[in-house]
Amino acid sequence: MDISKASPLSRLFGGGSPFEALSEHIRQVDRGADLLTNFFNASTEGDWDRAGALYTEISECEHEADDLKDRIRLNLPNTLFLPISRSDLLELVEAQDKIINKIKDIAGLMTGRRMQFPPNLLAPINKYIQVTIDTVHQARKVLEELDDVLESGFGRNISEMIEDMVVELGKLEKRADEEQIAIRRSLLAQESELPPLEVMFLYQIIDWIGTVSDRAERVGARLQIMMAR
Amino acid sequence: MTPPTGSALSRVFAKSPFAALSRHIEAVNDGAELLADFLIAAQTSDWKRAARLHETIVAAEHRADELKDEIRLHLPRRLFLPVSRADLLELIEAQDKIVNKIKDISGLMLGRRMEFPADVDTAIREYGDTAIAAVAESRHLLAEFDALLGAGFTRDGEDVISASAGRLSQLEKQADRQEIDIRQALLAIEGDYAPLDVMFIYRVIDWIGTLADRADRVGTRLQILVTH
Repeated sequence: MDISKASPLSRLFGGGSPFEALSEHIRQVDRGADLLTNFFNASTEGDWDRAGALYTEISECEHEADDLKDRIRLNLPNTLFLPISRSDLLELVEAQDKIINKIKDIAGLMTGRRMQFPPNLLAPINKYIQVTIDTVHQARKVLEELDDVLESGFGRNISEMIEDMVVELGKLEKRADEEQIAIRRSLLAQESELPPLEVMFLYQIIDWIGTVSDRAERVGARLQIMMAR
Repeated sequence: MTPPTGSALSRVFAKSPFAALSRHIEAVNDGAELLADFLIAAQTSDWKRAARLHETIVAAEHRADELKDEIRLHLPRRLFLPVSRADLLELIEAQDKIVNKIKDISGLMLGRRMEFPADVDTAIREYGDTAIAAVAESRHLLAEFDALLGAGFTRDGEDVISASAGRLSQLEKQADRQEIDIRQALLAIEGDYAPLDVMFIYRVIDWIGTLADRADRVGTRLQILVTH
C-alpha cells in the first residue's frame, strides 16, 4: 500500500520490516470494517448481488491481512532494536487479525442465509454497527499515533497519550455494549412473531458485532502493554 | 487494597504481581459465590434481587480485569522464582476467563428472565453448584501454590498441588456427568417449550460446563507452571 511508504516505521526499518506490515495490517482490518457498513445497507435493501460482491471484498481484506500476519510472524527478527518485546508484537498482530476474521464471519453468515433485520430494529442495529466500526477506527488511530510517536523520537509522553486513546476506545466499547443490550431487549419483545431459527441467527449476528468491538478494545490493551514495558 | 496478610506471596513479594494474582482469584471466586445466589434468586423469580446480584458480579469482573492489567503491566522481566513469565500470564488469563463466563451466564439469564422447566430446575442448580465448587477449588489450589512458594518448592508441596488439581478435575468430571443427564431430561420435554427458550436453556447449560472447564484449566496451568 502506498500509505505505508510514508510510514516512519518503515523508513526506520527499511522495506519489509515487521512494523510496516503491522500498520498495513490494521489498515486492511479497518477497510473491512468500513465495507461492513455498505454490506449492511445492501442487505437491508435486499440487494444480494451487491452484498455478495461486498462480502467478496471483505474476504479479500481478510486474506490480505492473513498474508501480512504470516509475513510478520516469519520475518520478525529475534532481537529488535526497539524497546518492544517480540511476543508482545505477535500478540498485537493476533489481536488485530481476530477483528477482521469476525467481520468476515458476520458478512458470510448474513450472505449465506440472506438475513435481514426486522424493520423496527434497523435504526438501532445501524447505530450499533456504527459504534462498532468507530471502535475499529479508534484502534487504527492508536496504532497510527504510535507510528507518529516513533517518528518524533519518543519526545512526547507516549504512554500518557496512548492511555488517553485507549480510554476513549474503552468508552466506545461500553457504548457498543449498551446498544447491544437495547437491541436484545427489542428483539426479545418480538421474537415470538418471527421464525425461531431466524431469531436465533439474528442473536448470533448481534453477538458477533459485539465481539468485533471487544476485539478492537483488546488491540488497545495489547498496545498499552507493549508500550508499558 | 492491601495484600492479604500472612500470605507467603505477599511476604516474599510485597506489592508484587503475585499478591495481585491471589487477589485476582479472590475476585473471581467472589463472582462464583454471587452466581450461586443469583441462581437461587432466578429460581424463585426474584428478578429485582437477581438484577442487584448481576451488578455485583459485573463489579467483581471489573475488579478482576483491573488486577489482570496490573499484573500484566508490572510483571518484572526477570523473576527470582523458578517459574516462567509466560506461564504466569497464561495462568492469569485462565483465571480471568472464569469470571467472564460467570458474567455471561448471569447477563443472559437476567436479560431474558430465564426460568427452567420444573423437570430440570433443581438439576441445573446443582450442576451450577458443582461448577461453582470447582472455582472454589481453583482458589484453594492457588492458596496451596502460595504456601509452596513460602516453603521454596519442596517435593511435598508439589504433591499437595497435585492432590488439589486432582479434586478439581474430579469436580469437572462430575459436572460433565450432570450435564449429560440434564441434556437428556431436557431433550425429552423440549417439544413442550418455545424453541428459542429451549435454545437459550441449552446455552446456559453449555456455559455452566464451560465454567467448570475453565476452573479445571487453572489447575492445569498451575501444574505446568510448577513442573516447568
